[in-house]
Amino acid sequence: MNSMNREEIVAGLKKLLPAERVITDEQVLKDASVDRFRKYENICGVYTQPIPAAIAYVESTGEISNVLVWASSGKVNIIPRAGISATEGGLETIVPNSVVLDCSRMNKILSIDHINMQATCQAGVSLQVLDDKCRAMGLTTGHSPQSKPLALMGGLTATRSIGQFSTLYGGIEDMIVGLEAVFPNGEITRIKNVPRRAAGPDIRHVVVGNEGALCFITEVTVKLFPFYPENNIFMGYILDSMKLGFEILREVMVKGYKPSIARLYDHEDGAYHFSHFAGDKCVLIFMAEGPEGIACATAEAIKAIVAAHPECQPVDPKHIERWFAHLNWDPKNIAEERIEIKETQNIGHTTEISANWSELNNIYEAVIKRVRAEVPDLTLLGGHSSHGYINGANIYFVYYYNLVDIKPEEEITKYHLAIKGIIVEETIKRGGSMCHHHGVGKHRTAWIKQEYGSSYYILKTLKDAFDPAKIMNMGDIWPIE
Amino acid sequence: MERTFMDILVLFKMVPNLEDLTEADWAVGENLRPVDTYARPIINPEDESALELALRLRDAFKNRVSSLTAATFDDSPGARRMAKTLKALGYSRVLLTPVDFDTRFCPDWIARAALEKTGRNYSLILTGSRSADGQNGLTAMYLAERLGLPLITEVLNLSPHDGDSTLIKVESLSDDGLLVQTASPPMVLSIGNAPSAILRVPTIKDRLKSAQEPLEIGTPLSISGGAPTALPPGVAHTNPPPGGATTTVKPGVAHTTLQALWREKQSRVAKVVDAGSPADKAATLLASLQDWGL
Repeated sequence: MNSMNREEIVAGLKKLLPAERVITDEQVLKDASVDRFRKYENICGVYTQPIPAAIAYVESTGEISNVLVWASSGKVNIIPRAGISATEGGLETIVPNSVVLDCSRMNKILSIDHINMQATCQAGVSLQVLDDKCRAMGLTTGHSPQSKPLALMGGLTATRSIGQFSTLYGGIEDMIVGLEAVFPNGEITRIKNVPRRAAGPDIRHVVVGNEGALCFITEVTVKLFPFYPENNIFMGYILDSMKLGFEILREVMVKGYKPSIARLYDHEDGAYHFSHFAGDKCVLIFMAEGPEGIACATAEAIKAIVAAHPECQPVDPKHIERWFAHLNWDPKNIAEERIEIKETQNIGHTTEISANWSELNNIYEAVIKRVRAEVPDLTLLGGHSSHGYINGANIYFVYYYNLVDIKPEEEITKYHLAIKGIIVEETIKRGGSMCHHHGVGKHRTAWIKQEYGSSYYILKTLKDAFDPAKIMNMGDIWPIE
Repeated sequence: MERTFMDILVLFKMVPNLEDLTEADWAVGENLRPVDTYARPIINPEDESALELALRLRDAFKNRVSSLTAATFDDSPGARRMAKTLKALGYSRVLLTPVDFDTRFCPDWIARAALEKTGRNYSLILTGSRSADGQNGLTAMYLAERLGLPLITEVLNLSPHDGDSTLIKVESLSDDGLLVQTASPPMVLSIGNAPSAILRVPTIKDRLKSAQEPLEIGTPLSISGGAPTALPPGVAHTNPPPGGATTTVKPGVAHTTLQALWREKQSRVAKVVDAGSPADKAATLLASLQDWGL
């Protein structure tokens, strides 16, 4: 694809950036060729993807613009990178001699504005750092994905991420006020911070969720909310049926209540977290937060909704409070996971989908039935719903399997993609979306046209228009054809 | 005589996952321990290693391991769940015995009760060196003493001996580093911080297959004389009086007040006999016994 060899690419980068910011160490490049999708290969030291030519650390919007102009003329594939917490292959360097462009050093918080309730920061700012700083001021971004200790704001925006309190605060698309992004032709664009406007289509949505395949996000402004942790009210229930659990979640959402957490775990996924009080039952979890009056009213309403279903047994809220205190993954968890996978030869992945209320339980049951029947060596197969809307919710399927008689590079095809394929098929045929919040990455592109149907025309035209040289994270979202 | 079959017993314990505790939970409660009511139970890490190493011996020795038994003094939901996991992994018997007292600090009782419950005819008895919550580290020692069996502590790995299928290669941690010994069952093995022994995971099919088997729950046990209680008022832990003087209570005296209680010192000693030939080892051992006045 590109017109330069590796040495020319490295030399070209070193003309644009200080040499010490152009990394060519072989092992570092190997590790940069994958993300958590291929964690087993990485653990085994097997690297099946083309090794990138270099990792380039950028420190300004201007540097990014210069690099993208250079890459466009030389047709060098660019992989924008931030916190490296991607799970769907978005960071895989599937095109030979790609350049990984890393913005983690663009890590300044530019302003925290408590009058206009907005915070502006560079793309390399850690969400944990930003939110901790806001919380110290009595504010919060409200964004809390499980990857919070690892993820950076640019990547969270590029993947259209969502957090564990989304039922109250929304997803990243609801939180972004304005942003700055650089396009492959070097154009630096800034979308200003206004509460709302009807001045044509909302162009923020061209950037939010582009997964680095249309442009490079350099700065974001997000909304802020007052932080009332002292008013958190936890509720938990155990029940036998996912179908009933979905119905209760729906009732809560349709009646207009907005708990920050509204989750339903099936017995398999629930057992991992809650076996000490839930046994083999499903688990419903709610948290109400906000000003005291709102938190109390939300909690009372939810309790009344659930109380109308005697099949639901309440649990001591302190169990839920303890679970809440350990929500997120940090580097220690990741390191421990690597050891466990290596020693037990057992590994887990997830696939998240969304659908309307009327199809959710159908999708759940169809997936569980098919995956159990068609995929061998499963040790855990379950799921939970964690993001509710007035018209539906997501399901986060969780699956673990023993790795039996395979080479590391065979894990993806024998197990992970086999399971993901079933989930995607059963979801799309019932009108749902195959990607709720992890992004398409490189491994759901096979179904992207089915996902979009006739609206694929809009999606394709965006790529043709903004990346005519085809240099932005090729193979992500749009399949290479 | 070649030992044809091996029966293996593993003693294990469920402990609270202390990482689940919040900052407030670490405040010492009424019973002088942190609030672990809401912590998830997990398998004690060194017992987990013991369970996995036993499975590896079964795999390595193929048909020579005739039974794998596991036992614990606990029938909580966490212990029951672990029992189901062990059955799914191929443990032929998992015995749960409920108790109504704190088992952290009575290792001799645990050893005695374990042998009463499970029997004494095992080729290998494995248990973790210490529990995450009790840490007394003595249960294996009391087991070995009661059975009159050799004990190797801080075991890190077990494998069949290359040349002789009746022997086991035992890797353990000693003060001088890694110790590799050839051992002949029967014996007791106390598993230490084994670096690569996380319990394997049963498949859903294996779990469903064994789910129908009823759990074996023994008769509840109480420590004889009742559960250990808090110290009575007016009595405090203290060091023995200087010179080892004792306080005696004369029978029939109405106003004698208990002054102090202390545990008598108990100790055991072990020495590695490091010499060339069996004759050299015997000579070294004899000299040591004479030095100890035995």
